[in-house]
Amino acid sequence: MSDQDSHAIVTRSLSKVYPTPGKGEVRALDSLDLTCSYGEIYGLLGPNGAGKSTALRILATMLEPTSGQAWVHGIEVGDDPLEVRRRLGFLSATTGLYARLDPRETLEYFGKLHGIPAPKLKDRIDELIAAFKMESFLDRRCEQLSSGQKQRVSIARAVLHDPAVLILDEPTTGLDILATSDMIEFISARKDGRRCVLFSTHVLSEAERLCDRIGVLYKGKLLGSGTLAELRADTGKEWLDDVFRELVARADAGSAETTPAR
Amino acid sequence: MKPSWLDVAKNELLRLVRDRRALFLAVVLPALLYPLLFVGMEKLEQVGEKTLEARELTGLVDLSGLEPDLADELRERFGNLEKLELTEADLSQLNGLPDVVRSRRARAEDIEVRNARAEAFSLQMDALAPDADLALVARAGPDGRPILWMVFDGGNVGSMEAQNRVEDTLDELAEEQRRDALIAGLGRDPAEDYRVETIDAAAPEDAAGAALGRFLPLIAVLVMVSGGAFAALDAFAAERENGTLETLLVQPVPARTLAVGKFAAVLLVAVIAWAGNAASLLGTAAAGLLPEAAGAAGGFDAQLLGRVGLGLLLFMPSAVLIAVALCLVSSRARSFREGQNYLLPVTLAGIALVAPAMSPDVELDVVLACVPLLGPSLALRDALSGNLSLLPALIAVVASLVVAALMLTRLASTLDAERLLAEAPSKASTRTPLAAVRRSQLTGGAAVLLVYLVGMRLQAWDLVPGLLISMWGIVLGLAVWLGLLHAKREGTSFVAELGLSTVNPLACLGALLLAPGLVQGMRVLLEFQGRFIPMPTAGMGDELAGLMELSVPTLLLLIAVSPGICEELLMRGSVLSGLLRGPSRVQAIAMQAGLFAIMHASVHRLAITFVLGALLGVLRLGAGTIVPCMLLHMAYNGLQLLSTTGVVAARWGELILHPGWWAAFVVGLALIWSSSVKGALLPKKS
Repeated sequence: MSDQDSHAIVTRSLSKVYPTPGKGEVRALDSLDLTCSYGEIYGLLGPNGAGKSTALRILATMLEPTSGQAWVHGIEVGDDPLEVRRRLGFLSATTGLYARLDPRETLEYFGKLHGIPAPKLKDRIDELIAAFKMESFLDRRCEQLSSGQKQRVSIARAVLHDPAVLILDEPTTGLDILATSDMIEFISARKDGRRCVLFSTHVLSEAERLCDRIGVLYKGKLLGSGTLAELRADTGKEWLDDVFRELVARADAGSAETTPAR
Repeated sequence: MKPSWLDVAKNELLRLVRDRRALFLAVVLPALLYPLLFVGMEKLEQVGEKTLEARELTGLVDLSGLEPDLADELRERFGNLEKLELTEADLSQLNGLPDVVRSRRARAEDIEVRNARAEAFSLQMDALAPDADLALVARAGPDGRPILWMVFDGGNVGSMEAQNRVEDTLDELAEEQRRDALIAGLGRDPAEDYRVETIDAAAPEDAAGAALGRFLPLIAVLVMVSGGAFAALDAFAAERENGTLETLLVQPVPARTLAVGKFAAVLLVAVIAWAGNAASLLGTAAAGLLPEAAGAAGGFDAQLLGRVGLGLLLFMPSAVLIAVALCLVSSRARSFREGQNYLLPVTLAGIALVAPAMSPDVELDVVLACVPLLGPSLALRDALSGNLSLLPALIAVVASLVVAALMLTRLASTLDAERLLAEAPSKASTRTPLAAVRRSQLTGGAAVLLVYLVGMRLQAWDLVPGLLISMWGIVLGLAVWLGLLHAKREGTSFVAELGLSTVNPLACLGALLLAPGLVQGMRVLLEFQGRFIPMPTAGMGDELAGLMELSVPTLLLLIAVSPGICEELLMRGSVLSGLLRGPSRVQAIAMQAGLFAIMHASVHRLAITFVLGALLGVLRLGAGTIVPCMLLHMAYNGLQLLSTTGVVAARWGELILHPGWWAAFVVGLALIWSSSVKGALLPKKS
């Protein structure tokens, strides 16, 4: 069995270059090699502009890579994007809800788009309503919900079809303390032997608390990947923010050495 | 179970039904349009008439300048007038009557002097009769015959009504005097020898249909655009702005299915708006509320209803076309508000395409049937009047549907996550126009006004210096001023703001090769336009009448070289540089082309100057410089001149209009294409 068949997510030399008027090209992702296993929560850590969203959006089939390959649940994203979308759930801080639909209507619509048969869809929605405690605001339109309630509807929407792979792009951005806490609890609860969660964040404490493994992404490159213990051993630093700084400092020093003097 | 476009359409409709604005625009407004328009207008008119009829009016008369018999006759008739009390007064001290009248007729007279005289006269009137609605003064005219001067206030409804009543009385008297004189001379009234009866041979439904057909296509387009616009903006622009489109694009549904579902919802809403509007029209007509001019009251029967049904069916491709156009435009917008900005051009384009159908002179033939929107509009009009030709009608249906289908395939490609994410919404660009854009718009507008108010006056005074000052003074001055302002505020180079930072020789050569083909193409466009707006004479010849005595080199300097340099530096140079900083390149090109067209101050040349402006704008974007635009503009104007101007045309006309130039046109396009500049469009910060 190949790597891509046995792992939830695999990328090989994945690169993305954006043509930018007036600036030539911007290399958002540079030869990313990433492997995430089933039963694992993997955190992609990096500052703004590191390439996290680009990587996750390629995996979610929203962007096409400039070069390299990516597999989700054993399917190459470029070969069969619709099949990949059937196997993954995707949620980002910028995804929204339909203001004039209530939570049940929202879930019914996305259930239909996933082709879930009506009786099964009804049971699944009831199950999610109970799991995410949505009974109290089920009849209200999404425009009338609090940010925490909206977040719960969004998560329920993302896992409606019980995907094997869940991709969350900075899921706690813009949330208040309670909603952030709900999200962290939800991500922890997704951990089981048959599913994988890949999420990006720039909040170090979230990564430290939730992740089985962490990848540090900086200027489109993966500077390090492993368990927290492995990263500590590699850098000789105790705290994750020190680990992060050390990896970034090494990368900057490396690029300074290879850049010819002007 | 495979997701279907119906699921997408249902979701769109469910959300629209819950929005009051959508319901108002798609259902309430179209249904209430006719009752509000016709009943409301009629009532207002009736109320206005009654109020005026009931109004007590007063006036002063001085009939001392008339023969005593005529004066007595008039006094008696004025005395019988109801609610108009005319009092005899001595108005001999009223001065300036002939001056005022003469000055109103003489155009050349200085405006200030004219206004001063009118004001002085008005003051005299106020002093003599401050409350009078009218004054009637009889004075001896230059040939000794008396003139009855009727002085009234055209800005006052009461005064105008008083003038109408007095004028009716005077007309009645004149008519009676004429008849009495005829009878006295001939012994009988010759008009009694015969009488005239008119018969309208059209069946009532034909008359009603013809009357309806003239305005129904235009109203249908407006109703469908306003009804479907909200649905389209909600389905595309608002979804993008709210982030729901991103969610939708990671679902296992092909973009085509999403596009078709959304389009179907927009189409349904537009058709509902239209159906509601048509039902409202029929209801208003059946209730006898349509004024005669709008729908020949009484002509509504089953046959006309059948014609309305057939006409609406033939017009259905227009609904499809409008819905898909609204979707395409909305899918380009990054926010609801940005999308709203795009609706005006869509509406204007719709009106422009449908408007010819309002003219009975424009007939549905095979060529016009192929024009999207216009073909079905003419078919609808002809179906209503009972004069439908089957073949052109079928061609109209098919042609508009083919165009709509092509646009629909394009719609799916707009739902591309890569593009949507690359063009993330920018509050700065969508909510407030950028300062550079505003500067360009204002300067372009100022150029138009200055050319109208100053340039044209100078040209009327003396054509050659007037033209030179307009170009090298006004137009070039504004170009330089705006370029300097852009450079200072944006931190860029002045030369780059004028579009002169490079030359691009290959594009220059290509541009020159385009010119003869362009001259021929514009002639075709003018001929086509002439079907709707007849040209006084083709081309530029008629407008150059005052220049015919000049030598060819002088003419070329005035008509080709000066505009080619000055207008390009302004429109494709500094104005376009500023407009390109806005959110859309298409908007920028269209805006400068519009300003360029309006600046030429000719209804007949509006379309061709707009097209020329747009082409030159695209050429600047492709070539990265305005030098090829200057050459093309000069060559185009020069060739127009040589092919239409007197003796020269005989020598050059045939050569310029040779069809072989189309081959050069293709080569020119290829040269421009191969030399086109990729990347930066805007001047770089220095």
